[in-house]
Amino acid sequence: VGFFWTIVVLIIVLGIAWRYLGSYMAGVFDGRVTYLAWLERPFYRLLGTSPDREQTWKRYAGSMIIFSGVFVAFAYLLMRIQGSLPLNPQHFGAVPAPLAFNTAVSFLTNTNWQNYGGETTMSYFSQIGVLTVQQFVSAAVGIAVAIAMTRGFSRRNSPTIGNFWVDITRCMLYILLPIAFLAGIFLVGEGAVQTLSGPVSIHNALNGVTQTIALGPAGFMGSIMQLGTNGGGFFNVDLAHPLENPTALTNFVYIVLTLSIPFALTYTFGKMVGSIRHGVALLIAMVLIFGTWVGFTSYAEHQNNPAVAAAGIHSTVGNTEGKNVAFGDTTSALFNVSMTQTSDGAVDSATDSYNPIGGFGPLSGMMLGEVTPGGTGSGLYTILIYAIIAVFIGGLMIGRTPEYLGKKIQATEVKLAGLGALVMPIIVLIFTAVAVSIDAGRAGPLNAGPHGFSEILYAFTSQGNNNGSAMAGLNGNTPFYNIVGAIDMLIGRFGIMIPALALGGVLAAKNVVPASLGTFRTDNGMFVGLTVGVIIIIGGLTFFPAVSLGPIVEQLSHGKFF
Amino acid sequence: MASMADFLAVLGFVAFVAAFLGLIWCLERV
Repeated sequence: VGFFWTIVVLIIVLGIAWRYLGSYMAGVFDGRVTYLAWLERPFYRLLGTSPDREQTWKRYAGSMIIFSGVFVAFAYLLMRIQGSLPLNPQHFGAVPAPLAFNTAVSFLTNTNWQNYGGETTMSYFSQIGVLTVQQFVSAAVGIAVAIAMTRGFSRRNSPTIGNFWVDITRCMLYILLPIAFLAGIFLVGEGAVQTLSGPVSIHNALNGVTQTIALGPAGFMGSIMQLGTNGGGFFNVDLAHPLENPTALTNFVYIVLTLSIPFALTYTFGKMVGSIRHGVALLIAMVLIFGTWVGFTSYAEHQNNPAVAAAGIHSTVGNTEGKNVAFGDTTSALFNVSMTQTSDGAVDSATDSYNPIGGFGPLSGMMLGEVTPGGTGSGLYTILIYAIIAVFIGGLMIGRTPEYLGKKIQATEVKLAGLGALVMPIIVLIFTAVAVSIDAGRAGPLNAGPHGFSEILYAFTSQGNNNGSAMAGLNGNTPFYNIVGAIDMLIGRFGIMIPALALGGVLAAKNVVPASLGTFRTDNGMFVGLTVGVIIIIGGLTFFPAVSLGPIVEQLSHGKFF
Repeated sequence: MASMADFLAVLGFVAFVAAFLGLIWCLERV
């Protein structure tokens, strides 16, 4: 009953966010919301730009890459010299070079894969000045790219798709900072820790044990890490830590924060292209897959753990190993699916302890390309890539030139969409194959057999999708996993963003073709079905052989599928 | 103290920027 009402309230809250946050974001990026214009202007002066100076897609993408290059280098530098910087009560020394490299790339790419324990590695300065800053910036960059691509559909005969510097400034000032601030206040009010004091030691006089309790500025970091679908928590165990996720209510708020912007961006898309129905069509495609995965994974986790059942113990509360009983089996599954179908990757339970087929839920969610609803911005621009492929297939079926929102989808668009859709599966499968083929890769997983394979596949899938969710059964802090993982994250992020911006640029330059009787409609059930089919077929065909070697064979080895 | 690893990391960042600027250049010609 509790899970049912959790779902009902979640739908209501997300419905409100979809309508009003979506509309607000469209106003911000269209330049109609201007109440902070006085605060925007100094940034534009500093950057030597203005909202009137629009960029072609090449300049837009080039600005993004230069900006990212500067930020990743600074992040690396600050982690390497953290021992000489303030806000370091535990006197941590420099973060080792391969780990700093992986972490800088991880937070740049919105992945937040963590090969370190936050409370035992990072100074407060690094947590605030490097990691939290990147959580704002990477989310803003993702949203900016989605908006720039959207302009490709909303503009006619335009050589430009907006201004990168203006878009990220507005995203930061009007959307991310205010919402994250308000959510941070709430989380701290609920008991999430927010302090610059060092850890405290507590002596238990009964058993004579002295325990060190890590503290730090975790509450506000939790706020943006979820709002920006980053997922990299202050503590090693992420949102399973009671000082960052203290109550069932904060757990629910974290889910809402994660899903709000990705779902709401479909409304923003509809509003900007002048057809809310098109936004609704994308939303329904997202909800169909998301809802199915929540149901599937929750059901799987509500079953007994096969290993516990084999010991003759019957559980009436599902698979509770590695789960916080305050959250429960099904809501933990909801949380996990919410984090892996976005690009968030936060955990409030141990995925490694999920039933094999329960672990298949989050893993396959990432393999579908994280478009349901996907990350902040990355979900929208990736599902638009799938939508273009769906339109192309639909056009082939009825023998007409495919169109989407009146824009003809021709060879260039299909090549760019194909590249955007295939980059992620290619890198994930190649890097997984390399890892299981060499000693350095095989040294990572903590389990042998299919479960060990799942741990490696999960790690590269998570990084290639910029998710950051960890199965918690792999030692990734080795030169091999730090460096190859960083390359996986970079290609998985920018290898899709750049084709998406190119698509935006190519489409913006086109005129709109008036709809005719023979036009394939892209705002009805047929289009939704086709888009869902494309997402599942691309993800299924590319990953099914690999998944068969991991979670599926492991589940079957228990003698039953469910 | 900067080490060889730091030098390689910086080289990695430069390679990242160069590679993706190169991708932009390539996609312009698709």
